[in-house]
Amino acid sequence: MFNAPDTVLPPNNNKTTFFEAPHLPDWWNQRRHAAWLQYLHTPAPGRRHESWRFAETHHLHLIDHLRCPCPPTPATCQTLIDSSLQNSSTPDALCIVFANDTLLHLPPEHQLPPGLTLLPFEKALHTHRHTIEHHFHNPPLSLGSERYTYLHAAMCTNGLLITIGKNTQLDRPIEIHHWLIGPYTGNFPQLLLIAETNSRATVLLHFHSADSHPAYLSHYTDTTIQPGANLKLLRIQNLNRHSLCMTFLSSLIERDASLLTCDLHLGCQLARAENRTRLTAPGGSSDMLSIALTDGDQILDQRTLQEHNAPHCRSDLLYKNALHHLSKTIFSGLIRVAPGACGTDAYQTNRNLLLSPRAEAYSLPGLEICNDDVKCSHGATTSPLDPEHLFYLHTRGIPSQHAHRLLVLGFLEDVLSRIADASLKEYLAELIQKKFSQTPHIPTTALPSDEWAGTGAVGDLRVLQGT
Amino acid sequence: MNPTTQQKHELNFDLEFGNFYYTEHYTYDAGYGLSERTIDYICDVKNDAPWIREFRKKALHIFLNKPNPTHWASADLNNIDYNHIRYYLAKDKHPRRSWEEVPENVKKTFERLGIPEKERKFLAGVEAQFDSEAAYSNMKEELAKQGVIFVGSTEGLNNYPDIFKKWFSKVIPPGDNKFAALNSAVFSGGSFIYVPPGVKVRQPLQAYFRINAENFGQFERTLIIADEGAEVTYMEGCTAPRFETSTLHSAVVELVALPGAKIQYITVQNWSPNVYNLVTKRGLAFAEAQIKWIDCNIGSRLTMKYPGVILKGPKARGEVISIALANNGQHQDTGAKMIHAADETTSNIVSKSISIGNGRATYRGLVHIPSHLRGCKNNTECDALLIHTDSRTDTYPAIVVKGQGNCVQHEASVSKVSAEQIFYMQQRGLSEAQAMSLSVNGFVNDLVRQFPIEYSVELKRLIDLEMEGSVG
Repeated sequence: MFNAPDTVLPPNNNKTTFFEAPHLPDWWNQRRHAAWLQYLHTPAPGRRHESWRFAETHHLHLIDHLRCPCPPTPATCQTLIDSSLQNSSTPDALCIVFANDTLLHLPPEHQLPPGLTLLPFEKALHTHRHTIEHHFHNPPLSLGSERYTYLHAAMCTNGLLITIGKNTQLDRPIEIHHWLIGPYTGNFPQLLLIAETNSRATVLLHFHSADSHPAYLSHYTDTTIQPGANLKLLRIQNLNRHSLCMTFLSSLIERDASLLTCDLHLGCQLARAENRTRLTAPGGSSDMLSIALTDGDQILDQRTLQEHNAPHCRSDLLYKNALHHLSKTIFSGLIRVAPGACGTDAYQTNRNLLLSPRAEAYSLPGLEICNDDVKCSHGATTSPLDPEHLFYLHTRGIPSQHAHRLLVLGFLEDVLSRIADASLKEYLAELIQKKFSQTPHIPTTALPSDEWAGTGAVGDLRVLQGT
Repeated sequence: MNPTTQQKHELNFDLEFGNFYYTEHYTYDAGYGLSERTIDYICDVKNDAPWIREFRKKALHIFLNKPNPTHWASADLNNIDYNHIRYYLAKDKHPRRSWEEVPENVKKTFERLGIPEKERKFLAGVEAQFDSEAAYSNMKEELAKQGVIFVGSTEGLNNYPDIFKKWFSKVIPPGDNKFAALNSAVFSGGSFIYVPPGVKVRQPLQAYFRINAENFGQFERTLIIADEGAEVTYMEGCTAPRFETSTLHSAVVELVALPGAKIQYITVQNWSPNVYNLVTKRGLAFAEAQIKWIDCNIGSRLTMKYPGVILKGPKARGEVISIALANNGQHQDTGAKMIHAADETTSNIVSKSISIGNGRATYRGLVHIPSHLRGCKNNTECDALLIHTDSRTDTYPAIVVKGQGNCVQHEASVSKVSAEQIFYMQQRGLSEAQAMSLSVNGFVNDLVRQFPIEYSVELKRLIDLEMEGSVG
């Protein structure tokens, strides 16, 4: 394990000044302080909590040792900006770069397409108080991480407010990069995303580590999709193997609006993702997708809620995990259909591919249906690769490792095919391929014994291979 | 009498099938409330061995210290007032072997429920429990000659301590959950069955549980052991009269299937809607053994029952077939648990639930395959049918899979009765109610067929009854 630093968040010596940040408005500082008190009063979750069932809570101790992030040096800034531009899905993306919650790069206003407003949260706090008060953590996510959403509210000083104006059709994606720098850094960026009536846009969130220090990212997205709007929100989590990441997504879908969210989990020691979709008016549609390729002793903990509060909405969830080595995934989902929500179409599917005898998949798909006129189903499967499929490929002369890779990519393919955009699909496929080629093949016998699993001590199994 | 009125008449009689009671004078009554004194009273009456007394007291301690599991279960559990329940009520400590000796009122009760009649027809043995103790227990002679033991739990404890003690509370220890602890503290009645190696009991054994008194808790404890290669089918049925106040039924059922044995356990639960039915049922299956739970829940106010199988030996198989029907004011919280603990074990869960009116049916399941196993398989199917707009259904499975070559699939779907089907049947001259009933029976038909024929007929009728008046 790492040597924990002494300093904790917020800095003990100047706690009061931390909540009196001069560059932030008073109302926000007060709100942060109130959230901090709530954080202190909320007990840490344990495995006995239903919403933390099967979870590994000991990794959360990292949060107790966090430091206030230091702003990056000018030299690193440029490297990170360049690297962000390279890592974006297309060269003409509208790129926004943050490092340690400091804004490094924002496209100049004259370059922005008409109808699009991009405001750093720091500024928006002064100018858009009403919007922020209305949308920020409202209603609360309530999927188990209350303690950490309070912490987020207390620590949150930056992020973005994005408004896609009425009837605006953006053909360039908005790509937001967050970089974590330095040991025990805590980043708490916020994204408020409002897609106004009949607008259309694609937003990509990238989470990177600039180094290999353990750090914590808490990212919260509140998004409102107004009538007829159509939004794609992709989140690519690629933090280093010692970090901890919690992503919160709360979305509100109005009449005839549609939202597609897709998460790609590649990095992190422990990633917890909470995703709540509320369908509040007829015709709303939500697609929730996720792909995870886990290896080493990574843990992925996903909790979702599809909330049908209005008639004639649809939601479709597909979460696929391919697990290597000692990794572990937990999927806990719930479809909740309110009494009046007739004509609901709601689906939930979780599929896990166990690529190692020591991998663990936990599945908790749930339904709460209070209306009879619904089409609802859920399915969960967990299995290894079909030996017959492998055999077939062998007989065609495809070597074992290639066959393996082909089948795993094929397994993940149907999630990708749900993202209609071909270039995005290709971009994600590339990232998956890259992670796959970096995943070392370790024979079962070479895997460390159970007592090491989950301690973080084998964070990167590449070490075992000597690569 | 024309056929329709006759049918109506029959139905009316059946609807009130278990809803009657005769005033009974009990010789033994532990009084209201639960304390060490209650336990001492029960032990004294039953002449329990010291280790049982100690076991009960330990369990009482666990029960008092465990909170209600309302963090996941229904908050309705908080409405149970444990101090307003009588924990032991009996007229007689020993069951009668012949029907003539059974006290008149008790006999009348069971005769109205058709117990001896059923026995004559097709059962190998019957036990009938009236409140805390068995009133009647009998088994066909040839089975006794083969060494089959079928007695009440008290008798089993006293007469066959070496077999009983070996397995008693091994499958479900008192600390398993709050209600298992409660049962362990005050258990009385239930069956003890031992089937010797290789003996195949062709006809089912049956127990009938009856709650007659108000504010009463029935806590029977059943232990069934099928020795190597043995086979046995056990059926239980339950009824109670409808009282204003709530009644508690908290049983513990332990099954042990030694290598190659087969146990089938069938329950048709038709408690009246004032009964809290909080039951722990679990089986232990050794190598190549099979345990099958067939569970049908129609009555009670709140049922919480998750029959489970611990698959302890290689190639063991566990199966749960579950039908739940939740009518107005009822919550059927049922499900299944499959704990795989050996290689190449397989399990199958098929659950179908029907929610009528504001009834709520819940499936709660657990499938666990740990990492040292290989070649385990599980299949789970849950289907829910909703009859009215305010009906409710929930599904909460938990699936844990590790290890090599293990496959698990789970699927659940929710639907309502298809309007087109109803229209088609009405067009052919069926009333809407008949069409509805037929459709619901069709929904559970493939499961009902797995019940012994006598039960499946009764079950169909019960479903018809529950559906009556639910349309229009």
